[in-house]
Amino acid sequence: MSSRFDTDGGRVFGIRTDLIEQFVDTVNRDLKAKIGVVIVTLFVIAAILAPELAPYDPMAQDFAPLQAPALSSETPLGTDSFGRDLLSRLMYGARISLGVGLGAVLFGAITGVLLGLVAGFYGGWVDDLLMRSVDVMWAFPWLLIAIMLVAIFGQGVWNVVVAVGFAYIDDFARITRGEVLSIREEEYVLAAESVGLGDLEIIFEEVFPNTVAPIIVQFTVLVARAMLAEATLSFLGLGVKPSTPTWGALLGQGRDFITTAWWISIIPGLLIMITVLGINLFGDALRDAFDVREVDSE
Amino acid sequence: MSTDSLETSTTPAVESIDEPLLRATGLQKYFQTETGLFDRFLGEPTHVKAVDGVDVAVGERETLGLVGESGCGKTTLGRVLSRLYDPSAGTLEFDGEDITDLEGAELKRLRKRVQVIFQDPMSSLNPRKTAGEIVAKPLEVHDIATGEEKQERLAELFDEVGLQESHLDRYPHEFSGGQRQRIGIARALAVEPDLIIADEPVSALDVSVQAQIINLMKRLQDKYGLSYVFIAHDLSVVKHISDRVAVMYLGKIVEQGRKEDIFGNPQHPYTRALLHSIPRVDGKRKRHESLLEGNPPSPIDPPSGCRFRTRCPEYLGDECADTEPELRAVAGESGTVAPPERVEMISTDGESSDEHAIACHWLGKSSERREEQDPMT
Amino acid sequence: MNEPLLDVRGLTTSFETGQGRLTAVDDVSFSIEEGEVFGVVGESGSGKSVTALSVMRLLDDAGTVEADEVWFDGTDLLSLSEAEMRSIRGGEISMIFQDPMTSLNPVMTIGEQIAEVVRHHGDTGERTGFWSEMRRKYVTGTSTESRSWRRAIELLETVGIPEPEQRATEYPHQLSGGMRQRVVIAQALAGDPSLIIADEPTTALDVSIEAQILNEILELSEEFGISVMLITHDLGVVRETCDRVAVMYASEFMETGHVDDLFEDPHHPYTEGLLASIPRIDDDREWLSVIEGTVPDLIDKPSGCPFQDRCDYAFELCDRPLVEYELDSTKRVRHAVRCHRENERVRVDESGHVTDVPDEAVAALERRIEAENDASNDPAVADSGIRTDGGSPTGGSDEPERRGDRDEY
Repeated sequence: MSSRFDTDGGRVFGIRTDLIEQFVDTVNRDLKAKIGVVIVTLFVIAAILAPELAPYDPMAQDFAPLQAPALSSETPLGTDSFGRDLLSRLMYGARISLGVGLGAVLFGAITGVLLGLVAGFYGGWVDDLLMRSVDVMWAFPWLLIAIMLVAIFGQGVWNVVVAVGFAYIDDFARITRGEVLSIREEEYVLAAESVGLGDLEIIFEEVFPNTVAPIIVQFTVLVARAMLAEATLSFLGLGVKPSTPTWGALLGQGRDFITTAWWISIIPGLLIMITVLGINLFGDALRDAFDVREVDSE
Repeated sequence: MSTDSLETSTTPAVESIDEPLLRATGLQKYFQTETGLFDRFLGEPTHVKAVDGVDVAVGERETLGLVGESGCGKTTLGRVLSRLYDPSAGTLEFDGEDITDLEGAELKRLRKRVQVIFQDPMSSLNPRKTAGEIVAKPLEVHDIATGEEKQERLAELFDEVGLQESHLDRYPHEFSGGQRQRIGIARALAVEPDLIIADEPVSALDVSVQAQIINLMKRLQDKYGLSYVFIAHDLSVVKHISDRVAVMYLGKIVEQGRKEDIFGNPQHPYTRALLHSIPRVDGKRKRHESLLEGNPPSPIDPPSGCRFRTRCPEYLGDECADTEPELRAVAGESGTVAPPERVEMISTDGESSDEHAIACHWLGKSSERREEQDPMT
Repeated sequence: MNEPLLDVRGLTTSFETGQGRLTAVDDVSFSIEEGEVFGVVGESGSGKSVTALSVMRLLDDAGTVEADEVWFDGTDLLSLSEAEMRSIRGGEISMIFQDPMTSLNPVMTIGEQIAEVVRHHGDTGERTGFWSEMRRKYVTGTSTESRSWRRAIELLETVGIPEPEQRATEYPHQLSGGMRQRVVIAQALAGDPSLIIADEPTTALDVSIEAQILNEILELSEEFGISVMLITHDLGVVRETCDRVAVMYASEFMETGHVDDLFEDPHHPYTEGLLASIPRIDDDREWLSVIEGTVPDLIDKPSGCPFQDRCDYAFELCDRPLVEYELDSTKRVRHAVRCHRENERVRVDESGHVTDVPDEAVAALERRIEAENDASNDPAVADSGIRTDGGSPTGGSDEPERRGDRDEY
């Protein structure tokens, strides 16, 4: 019965159980949300379990190049120009795509949210300074940054993560700042000050938790965009090493064979499209579920 | 800090309480109006003079009611008094100590003795925290109680304000308006403060709930010997809970005194007109004329002389526009009038207490002449 | 007495929510005479605003409105088409809402906004088609020579706005709260209404401004003979401005009567409790009396008195369906109370507590409830009991059209 005094109000891994329930509710109600959840789940499972599930080593050139896709029992989606199994490469590619997508957005989110919190909370010249810096970042073409990074450090996953993530700092900074500006006007922030909390405590205990919902939504949307960006970079040859299987690279490599072996390009292309759509639907469902105003106006 | 010069640093004309718990002298709070980048280079910044030279004092175990219309600066004054805002000028003393410029750890110590209750019971509670977490916060911040002890104290506090232990785990949106305000009161009470500044604590609540919260606040005052600064626009509520009352208009106090002075023998034209305009349930009046025409002027550029002169039903003459009247004791002065018909709310013998003061040029003038001119008598 | 201007019988409004059916207005009946100021007073969530919106048919699809009848000035509002209803709104009946900022369009000058209403509801000879309005809105503006603009200026003057020509060209944000509410009133007058429904018109305003606005509304009501339905939570406002008043609690009208009767001689325990709980400027009580408990859940509302759990006088009949008891006829106007304590066979002691409930009281109540059920199930009886088109109480079988027992819209 110790829970009688437990003020944690039901949390799982720090997330309020009622928010989880709301999300489940939303998914149950909404077909689009269901589709999103299914696609994202399949994608994540494929990425995580690629070593277990993939029928072949994605680097092994076991087959004759450009074997027909013909849904053969050996290689369901055919092979690429080097005779590597496409299904296996796609599954491993999902790992890279997901990893780069999450990593880049995480990088952008942490930097941007911190900037936004500080700028919004303190206002004045701090706000001016930080947000004008963000403006400068925003004005800088991310593709140019990517080319610079590759030129300086060479190709690699981390460079892609930084190059792509850099472009998202301003999104997160702006969203967070906007939220903070309105939350700062709420009386509970003043109340926290009157209780004796310091600035850091107020920012992270009172302000930040109330900005989380739109940030999470933006996060999911940007993961989809980051995957596209990674694909673009790899397609252009600015991404990871050419032999590494990523969806963008696969798409790019198939370019030369589009007339003779359409599947090498088309299948990764379709997968990118479906996954991005799925993540967007998932993000919409999260937004619906986390909309506090809807809950409060009962 | 105090770059703004004290315009007229007068000694308070009225010394009301011998050893007040909180005393403000010449308190000012100016806000710079929002300006764009270019405005900052060009020309003078404009200021909203939200609080413009206020002297107030709150005694121990007593309630000071602060009334005025919206925009008169009462909320700002409350926030400066609780040191949530830094004063632009003037001094604040709490329990004999100068608290005007307290910072850091010292300010935190003050927070343990001065607490605030807010107007909007929804906006003043973090929607992402449970009621228990909200009330526990001050206990944690000030290392008052931890673990078992904290839980016991929480249960005690909830019981004290009329909530149940089962409410600890609920989120603000699961409560009614009255219950939310009870949570706000429990949070203020948690640190066992000496003074609570309550900013319109009942104006967002329904009438029947207002009574519950007012009674609760009175009971807590009796039990813990609290002092209150009770800010409200509703004169009936203020009259009910206050010992002393200060009436604010456009950043200044125009009349102050004991409750009996303000409601039994109001002297400032603004107070009198305000009392006259309250809709009354006693049925003594139907469809009255409004005595306050127009709207309060902007606090950015208040009228010269007496700030109330533009709406004053008892306008005296050029004097009102030329010089600003100071707050002066009413007792023994001429220029006073009987309370307007239907306005006497407390039967008094018409004598003012020592604390009764108004800022009006009629003081010292002829009472007969004022009576002739007064639309209320 | 003449025909009432507005006559509402058996109005019930409910909303489907995730948790169940929420009854926001429960079998409410009232009438408003010509030139009368009728107050509806209640706490938030009691259903007073929804009552007004239901009459105006302004609720969105979420709400289901049922009523036995809603007569306005000889017209059956239930039978009107949406287009006909639209011309009544802002015309014959206009509304004033609580927040004057949100009820005015921030990007249109106030003169423009009033002139538009004038054109739509009056006979100004000006074109009001879509393209004409678009032209005015985006290109030319309303000509200051036009009749609608001149009328707008006149209306601004009527509601006490100084320098109306100048003010008409300003935008809502340039005016103070009190001035804005005057503009809203001017707009409400533009359609030449016979009824104004004012929903908490002064709640957002300071007392001194409140007095000005209430005065304005009352003067207009007197000058033009306009009826006013004033919805408020403020008992002081009701006392000073209304002729008759209904006290609403948990979606039901608990007590209706002349404002003086109701305040001086309240019969319903809720009215009594409410009056005792407000801090009054003219009393010296140290402790306010309090109505303990909270408002009942309106979702899947049980039958019986909704106040019984909080009532000091509750007795065994309180969980029976409520019926209306009319108090003695010597009162100025009809004073009706929905409380079984008023059942003439129930014995009540000095303090108001019920001492004895004879069997005959129960039997009488049961007969009455049964009769009322029959009445509302049988259209012929329902019609004959009140009034038909011509106003004469007939139950005649030669009525050309017979409405169903409850119209739904």
